[in-house]
Amino acid sequence: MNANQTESSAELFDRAFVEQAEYLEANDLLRWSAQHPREAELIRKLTGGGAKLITGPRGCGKTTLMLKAYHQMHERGASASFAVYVNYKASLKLEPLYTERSSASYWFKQWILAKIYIGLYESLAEKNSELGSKLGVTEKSVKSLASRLELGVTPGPEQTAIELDQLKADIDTTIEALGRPRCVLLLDDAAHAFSADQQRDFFELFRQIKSRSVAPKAAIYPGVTVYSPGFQVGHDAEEVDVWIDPYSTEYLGFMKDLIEKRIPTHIYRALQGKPDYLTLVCFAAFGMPRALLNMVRQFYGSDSDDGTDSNIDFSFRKIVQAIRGCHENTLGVFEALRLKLPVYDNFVREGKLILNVAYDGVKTYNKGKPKNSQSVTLAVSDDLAREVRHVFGFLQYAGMMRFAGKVSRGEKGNFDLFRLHAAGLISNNALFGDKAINATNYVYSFTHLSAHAFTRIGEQALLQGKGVSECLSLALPPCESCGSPRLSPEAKFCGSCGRPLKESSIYKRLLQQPISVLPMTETRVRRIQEHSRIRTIKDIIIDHDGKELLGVPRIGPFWARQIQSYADEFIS
Amino acid sequence: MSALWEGSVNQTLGLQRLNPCDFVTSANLNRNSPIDSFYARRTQILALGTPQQLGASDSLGPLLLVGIVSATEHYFRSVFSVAINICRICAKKSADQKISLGSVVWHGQQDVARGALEHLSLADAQVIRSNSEKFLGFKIPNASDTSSALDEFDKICQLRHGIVHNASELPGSNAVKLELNRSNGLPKIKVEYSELQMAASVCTALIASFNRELFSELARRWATQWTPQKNHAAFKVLWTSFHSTQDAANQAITTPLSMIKCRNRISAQFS
Repeated sequence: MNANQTESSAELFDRAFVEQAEYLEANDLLRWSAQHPREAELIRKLTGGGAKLITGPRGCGKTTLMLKAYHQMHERGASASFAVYVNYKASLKLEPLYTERSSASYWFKQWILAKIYIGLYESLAEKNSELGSKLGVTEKSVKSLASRLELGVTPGPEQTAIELDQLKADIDTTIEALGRPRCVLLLDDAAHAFSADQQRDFFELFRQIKSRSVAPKAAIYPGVTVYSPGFQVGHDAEEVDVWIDPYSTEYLGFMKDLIEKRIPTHIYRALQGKPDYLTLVCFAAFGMPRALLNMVRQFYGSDSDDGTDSNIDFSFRKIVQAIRGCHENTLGVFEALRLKLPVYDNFVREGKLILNVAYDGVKTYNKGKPKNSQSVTLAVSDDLAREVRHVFGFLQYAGMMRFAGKVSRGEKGNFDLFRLHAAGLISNNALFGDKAINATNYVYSFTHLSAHAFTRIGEQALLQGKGVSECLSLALPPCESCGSPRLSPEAKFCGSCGRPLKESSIYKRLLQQPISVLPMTETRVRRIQEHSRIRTIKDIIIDHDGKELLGVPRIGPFWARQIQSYADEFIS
Repeated sequence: MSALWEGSVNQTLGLQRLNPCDFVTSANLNRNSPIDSFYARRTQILALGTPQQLGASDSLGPLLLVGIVSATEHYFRSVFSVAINICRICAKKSADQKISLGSVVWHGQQDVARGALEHLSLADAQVIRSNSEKFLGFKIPNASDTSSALDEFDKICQLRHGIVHNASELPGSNAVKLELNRSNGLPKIKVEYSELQMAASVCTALIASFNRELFSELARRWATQWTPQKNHAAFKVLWTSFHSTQDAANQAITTPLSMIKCRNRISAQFS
């Protein structure tokens, strides 16, 4: 094998493990993504009329579906809707405006519209259409506006405003000229989960842009989305859950197909040689392809840029280690909320305790039960306190649990069912009550779940006897001027000295976090600190060409990109 | 026998007389800038409404909200008056505007600018926009912070209208302007702690942005259009009329500069 061949093989190896669909080339996306069990139905909803909210936690495949829908609409020709794909991942960059400018809402909406225009221009370019020259605003001006706003710079009065009516008229002209029935706006990463102001403004615009000829589809997270006043899910937009049920009959086929498409055949065969292990890893991913790829990557190759496949390790020890890592990563997403929403610090802290109670409860329930009656589901009363419900919302956002419907138990009341993350169940050895994890038994139980096996836990037990107000209060910072505590979460002025209570920017706070908050080993963090000037998330973001990172031993182009995507993910 | 039915619906009272002098006292000479005066009033008003007090009374919150709007109106009257007094371009623009004779008689020639807007209610975003242009020659740009803040202030003004004129029941026309959903029964205005804090915050944001933007416009005129141009004494009056010592003390000013440094920067920019 010559040097060039080695290089291309390494690149292929790296590309195959790019976990986020938006970073994949179109060809790779279509080649490497597996068929979602409900793909036909979901693509129909994404390519047809009507407003839709695509829900699911990070890494469950929302972007993949949106991009598949996009490519399909472009390939199908005149009978299909005209597709425009927009990614709002960078929205948190505009969040500081809300603490600094009264016109923040105006500029955020201008950014949303500018991004749609950019997507419109890109779609027209892909069709080699000349229609771009007929649009009401130029490509150069919208790109300049969007990038300036992302840098936190608001243009002066000379900037021409982008009007919503103008955009709608431009879209109508475009679809008429192309002979398309409608325009589908695929608005990815549109949850704006950490800024309620941005969420309100986004959904206000989302409702306004919807028309007979414009069908917006927004990707959002479960549990944490706040809509604008008057926005009614169901009426203004249909919610479509794309998170694959890990206990559905099609699930294992989908996940294995995904791995088969991503990794070299002989390695896939090696993994297939231990079917229980492979199946257990698929269950542990809990319906999230990104988590599965992350685990599979650990079974062969090192964390260097070397793409050789000489070191396959698919031992029991290794899979348990990968599953625990998956559990910790998901828990890490939940714990990161402490940094992103510090006011909910107590909710996150208590959320971890609630999870422990849940795993212990499930473990106790399962002990001594037959293999086909093991519980993976938590049942909680549907009238939980608002604060506890909030914790459950955060846990769903992180993917630690997923809503699995309601059940009525007569006089005992109505219950909401939540499936617990399988990697969490395995890591906590919550099935069977045995001392050691038995992969074959776990796989059997996961594939033979009983609909009646769920663990009922009351609010008191979840909170370990503590009162809601005692353990789930908001962590409100005191007045910066006089140190007096805030009278209420809604306080804007100090009740003691009367001075305005300062609101800090989430985005700026995240940029200042040390790089150790990213999912990297301690060794890698230390190596970066020793061999570069990178100390904070901001340092990684401004090292956009990866020059600093590439100067660190054992960090090549793949890991430089990977670390940058961790940083991007952290601030999005 | 006379039919005394006229007195059958409610009590009868004798003459109730008031002396206006009892209602008026001399105000202390206020040397604060209009923005600092607003801050002081806002703090006084908010101190009257703790979460408990506002939760226990239906009337207190709406009345305090009216107080906040009144303090906002007062800021605009003061800052307009200051601008007309110190800027010849503002004075020239306002020369064409009408003023009530009573205002002139009361304030006299020296302080006539104070009466310029007495006949107008400034509890209306549109009135502020149009009079800023009419009296000051300062058109509030659409994409500015002030413009966005005025949109929010207008929502408070609609509520204020219901409180002042309709005993806190929201009139239909105001409900329509607020784009509220039609509901059964009359909409009653509710102002508890979070609503009052929010309203005060909106008014503060409006005043902070207008103060900043009008200062920028007048500073530009000072450097390029006032005669004599770039006069230090004139700048000192401009600075003290707009600079907030409270914001400076709270370290809330984005670009903290001394008066001299600010003057020099403006001079350099328009050299």
